[in-house]
Amino acid sequence: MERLIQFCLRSRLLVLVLGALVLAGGYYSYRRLPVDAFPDVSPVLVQIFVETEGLAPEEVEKFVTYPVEVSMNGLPKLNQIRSVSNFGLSVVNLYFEDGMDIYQARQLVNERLQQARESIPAGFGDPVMGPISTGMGQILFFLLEDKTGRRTPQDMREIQDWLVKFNVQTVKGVTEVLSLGGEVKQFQVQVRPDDLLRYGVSLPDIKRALEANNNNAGAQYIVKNSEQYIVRSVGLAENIPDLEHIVLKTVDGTPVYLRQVAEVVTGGEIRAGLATVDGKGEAVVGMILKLIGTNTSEVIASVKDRMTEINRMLPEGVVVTPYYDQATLVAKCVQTVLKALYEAVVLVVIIQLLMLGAVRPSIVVLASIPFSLAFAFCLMNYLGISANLMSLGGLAIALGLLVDGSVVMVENVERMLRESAPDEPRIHVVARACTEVARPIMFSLLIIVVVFLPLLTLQGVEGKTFRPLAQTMAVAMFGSLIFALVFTPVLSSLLMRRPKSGAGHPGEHKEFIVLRAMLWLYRPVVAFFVRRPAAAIALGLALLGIGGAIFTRLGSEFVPRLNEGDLLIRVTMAPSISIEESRDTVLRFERRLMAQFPEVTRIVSRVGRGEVGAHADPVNSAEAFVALKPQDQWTSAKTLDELLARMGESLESFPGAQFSLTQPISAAVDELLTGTKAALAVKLFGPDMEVLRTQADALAKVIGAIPGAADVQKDQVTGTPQLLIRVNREALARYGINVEEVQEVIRIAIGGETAGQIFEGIRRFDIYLRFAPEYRGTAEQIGHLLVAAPGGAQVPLDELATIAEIVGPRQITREDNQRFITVQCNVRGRDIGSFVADGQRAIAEKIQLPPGYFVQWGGQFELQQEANKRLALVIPLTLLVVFLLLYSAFNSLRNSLLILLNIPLALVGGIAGLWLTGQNLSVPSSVGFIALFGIALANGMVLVTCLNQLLQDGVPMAEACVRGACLRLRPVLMTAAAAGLGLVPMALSHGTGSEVQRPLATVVIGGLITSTLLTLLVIPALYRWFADSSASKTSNPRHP
Amino acid sequence: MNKHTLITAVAALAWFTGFGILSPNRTLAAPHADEHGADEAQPGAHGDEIVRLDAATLKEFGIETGQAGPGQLRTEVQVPGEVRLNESGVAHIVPRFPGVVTAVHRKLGDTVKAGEVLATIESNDSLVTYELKSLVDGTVINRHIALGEVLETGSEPFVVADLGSVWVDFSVYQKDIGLIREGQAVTITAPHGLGSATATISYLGPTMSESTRTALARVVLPNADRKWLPGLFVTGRVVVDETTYPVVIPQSAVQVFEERESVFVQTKDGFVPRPVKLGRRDSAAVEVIEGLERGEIFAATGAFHLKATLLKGSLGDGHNH
Repeated sequence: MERLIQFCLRSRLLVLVLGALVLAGGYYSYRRLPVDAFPDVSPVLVQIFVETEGLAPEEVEKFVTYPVEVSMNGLPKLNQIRSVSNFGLSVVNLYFEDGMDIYQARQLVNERLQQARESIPAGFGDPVMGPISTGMGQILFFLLEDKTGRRTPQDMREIQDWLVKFNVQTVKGVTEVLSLGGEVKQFQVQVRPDDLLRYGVSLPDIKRALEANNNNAGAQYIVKNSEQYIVRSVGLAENIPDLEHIVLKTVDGTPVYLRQVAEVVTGGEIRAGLATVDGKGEAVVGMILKLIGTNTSEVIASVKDRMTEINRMLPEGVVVTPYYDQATLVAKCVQTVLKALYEAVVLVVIIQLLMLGAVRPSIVVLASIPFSLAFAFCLMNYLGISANLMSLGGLAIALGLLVDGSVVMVENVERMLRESAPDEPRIHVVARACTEVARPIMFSLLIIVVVFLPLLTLQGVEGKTFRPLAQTMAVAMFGSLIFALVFTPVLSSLLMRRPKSGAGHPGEHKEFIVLRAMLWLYRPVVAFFVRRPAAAIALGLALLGIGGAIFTRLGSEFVPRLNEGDLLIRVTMAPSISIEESRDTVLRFERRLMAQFPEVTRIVSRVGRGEVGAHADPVNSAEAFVALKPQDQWTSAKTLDELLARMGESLESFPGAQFSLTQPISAAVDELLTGTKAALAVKLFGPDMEVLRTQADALAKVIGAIPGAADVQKDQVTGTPQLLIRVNREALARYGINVEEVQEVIRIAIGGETAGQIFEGIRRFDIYLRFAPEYRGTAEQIGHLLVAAPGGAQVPLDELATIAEIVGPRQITREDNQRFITVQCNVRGRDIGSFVADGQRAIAEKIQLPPGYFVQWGGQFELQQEANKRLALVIPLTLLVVFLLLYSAFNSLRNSLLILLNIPLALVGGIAGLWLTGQNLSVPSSVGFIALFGIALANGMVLVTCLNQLLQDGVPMAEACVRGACLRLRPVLMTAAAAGLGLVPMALSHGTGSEVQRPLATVVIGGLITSTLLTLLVIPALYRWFADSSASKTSNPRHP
Repeated sequence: MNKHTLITAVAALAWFTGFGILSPNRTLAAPHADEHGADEAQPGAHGDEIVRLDAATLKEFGIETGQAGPGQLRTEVQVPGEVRLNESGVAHIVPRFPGVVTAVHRKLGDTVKAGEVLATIESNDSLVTYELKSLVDGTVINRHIALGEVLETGSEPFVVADLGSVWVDFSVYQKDIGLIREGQAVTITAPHGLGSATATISYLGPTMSESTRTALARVVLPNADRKWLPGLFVTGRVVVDETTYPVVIPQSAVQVFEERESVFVQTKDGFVPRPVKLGRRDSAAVEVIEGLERGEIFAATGAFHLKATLLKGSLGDGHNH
């Protein structure tokens, strides 16, 4: 340590250059850091989508989902496989362990996908991976509007897909643009079955003819007069007349054209989703996903630039406008933190000037801030931590602590300079002063870093949310440690002067007036407590008692809700609803909300799903994005919570739909997270839906009967009506028809089939073959579809099959290759552990599961138990490390214990702070407590070191206590005031994102007040019992 | 991982430092303070299945009521058919003796009377000319004759048919045979808006075709304006039953609720789902055998929204996680 300081003082230029380099590097890193609103809490997830035209959930599961799942089994670092088989869509979610490289994961998945492709029957769809993005990746939504009102939904979607999307997709950092709404144009061949009969043509004939008459061909080249001509043949159908003139067959030289048996029109694709706007009607919207790891603000800015360009080339009257983007939120969040940071800097500067009473030492101390921040930015860039509310918040919290080391050092240098002999070279004095305090400084800063270690072991959402905070804070503290040990001595030697007057007269009269005033107050008080340690103990215990009493009255909450500034309302309708009725219901809801809440400026809703890649929702669910006016213009409510409550109330009476109010980013993130939100989830696994359903009913009853059960809810798995056509094999046998032939009629006639594409330039549109609507619209009409028998007979479908209306599954969800159903509940009034034990016993007694079925208990409680286990290991370990650090600093068990006493003393103030400001215990406040412990320990160390020093110098115990306390009053107050006041802006802030940091800041400030007070009063009083006898003996000159 | 853990962590820290005021045994409210909304209000709770909506909402959602009363149900069977010549009015005009055609007086499509001369032929044997005369009033629908042609006996130079009426032959599938009887009315519709007509079944074939496994049902259709072209495919709808029942409601009023077919009946408090036993039905209406009394008011349209409202509590979160 001494050598380090000596070395630094010798090579001052080198040190200064190094410092300049770090500052420059920090600035460069700061410019380059990706900026987000919040830390990304999404899991490492690879999604596999398979679109299958018209298949019911059961078939999707059997033929598509299952093969995909099976092929993915056993991938390295794969945590869990979950899947949803929906109508026409299979989604398999592969959750990897945190820390797995997303590109590597995708690579592995892609290899296995080959295998999956082979086991999916032909024509059942092709598996594709979802976009390389996360829940935070939905950075911008835009709306395509037609001001003329003359364009059809097809026109709009065509503009969207081929002008807007096409051009936005190439923006750097955009990984996917997903369109929704309007109608995807296709060329529909609407076949009249009567005419098929008349001309003796079958549907497969038409399909073949369409495919055989719509092609271009290349035929190498010919040489003509030494020139080479490429030969190409053009036979692509380009428009409706081309299609209509396709010849299906020729009878006696008379051709039968397609138009004789079918009508060819352009129409909209069968859709699984649509978008509506402002209760006015349907709209075309798009969603932009950014690539993982790119800079949100930059991508949004370039997307917006591109959109201006696109707007210039769009047809007259059509405009594309973003209606939601994260940029505003990012800007607001960063602004909130930066504002707190700036204000904190100002406050810290003022404190330093007041306490030190001189400009030069203050400059040395304050230089610690830019250096530590720059150091932190360098490391953030290196570690890939983005700049966001949390990571910048960590810096803001650390700000007051960053000066700690240098304060202590500079204070010591100043004192020593004042007291030193005038002929001693300044640099020697500095070296001496620095060496004296270097060790305690190092240890105290290390302790602050170490107490943050448990935060790094947090898992899941909380872990991902608060880890950046702990990381940046630890990194910045480490930076300040380097500054204190390397740069402070150098800067002190360069900048600090010996006091001009009073040289050689060591005395307190030269101390700054503020400090003198405080000493005048403090000295008698501390003297009193040192004389009467019982009073100190009583004071301590009394405060602890108050703290304990308040603690029981504190409420608790999860992470306080961040105000994103916009709302997202989820609408869930009856599972049997049709897409048109779903649209009408959502439009009614939009109209109602806009009429009742004038603060709503725009509502854009997504009904069902658009292009695959982000959502897999069925048509009975919708998500309404609600844009709000700035909060100060609200009339229905003052706060977000109030507004949400009002809206909830108003929507409660809305018939036929369930609403849940949340915010865009939290909704997107929720969607990607696994697991249930309830405290407890009982999952019943097994093969048969019906058995699962009845057993789940029984389970719900048993669980509901256990004392403490609340909000028992089971998954609704059925409710989607199906028209089930079950072939009668006997009838088929009599006519000599194969099942396949019947199903082909069903598939093509009712569902339709793609038969090639029409190209318009690079735009391509499907040719879709299907019966005309009037032949397939009702169950009765379907029963009359004719199937050709080998003998030439035309047999109606209801002769060959039974057609029944049944209720089928809404969607089939699976986990780890098994179907399951969840019964979830919360537990009130008792602890979850005993509830689970009771529940397991009750289920074992009362429920007889058929073979192949089993129950699994999970939910939040499981994660909690895991986390508790982990913390049960990590916290004692941390304490051990803290203790070891203390012990190696003091070489004394007693001293270390005395310093640990600071922790409970600090708790009291934090609790009181929360109580006084009406806040709850929450994750951020817990983080505040942890930060507080570090600071409190550091303060204690400073004081105890000084007391030890005095004792070593042979000062009697009682006097040492009082004098030491007075000597250390200034550094202790300075560090505490810096740390505390540095957080004041954050505690008072009301900007976006301040919700999360306010409790944290409150705890630290409150805790610092009590802890400082008690450190200064109680520790000197108790010191006599904790003084290390051996240390004082060995160093006592009178007892060598 | 949630606040429990952190509080436990804090408590543990405190505990390890010999400070035990933070006991981890505090019971905390359920996590996830994020879900607002109507979750708490579940109108679908059992025993209280009633939907109360004000008049404006009823109108907004297109919910209209009807009064249960008697109604007529028409049970129909749809049969595919084909327009054919009325064979009783068809005459084949053939030469008695082989000979050379010396004159042709009528061309295809001409309307002719019975006895009208169609062509003149000179017999090969006797070199006597004789005339081919129409046997019936009708239209020349087939002509295979040219001047100078030698007609053999057995050739068929003219077919004259009376198109004033046509046959429509329907194929009756096995499942419908029990329902179709002679004398039943059939509504015949031609495709492409070519017209429709009503007639009665005049003949039901006693056997089934071996190749098509269908039975023949025939209708004789007047065809004064010649719009029923033989060869045209048509669809017939046979009303096999037409009875009035005491309580008949539109099918749109019936909703499957809790796995039972139900009707939403208006009481003074609101709409209540009532399970019903349904009887016969036609394409639009259905007979209620049990569950709905004459005179009761029920939701005739928009009943789906009433059902959906009752289901609200159980909808949960339809999103995928």
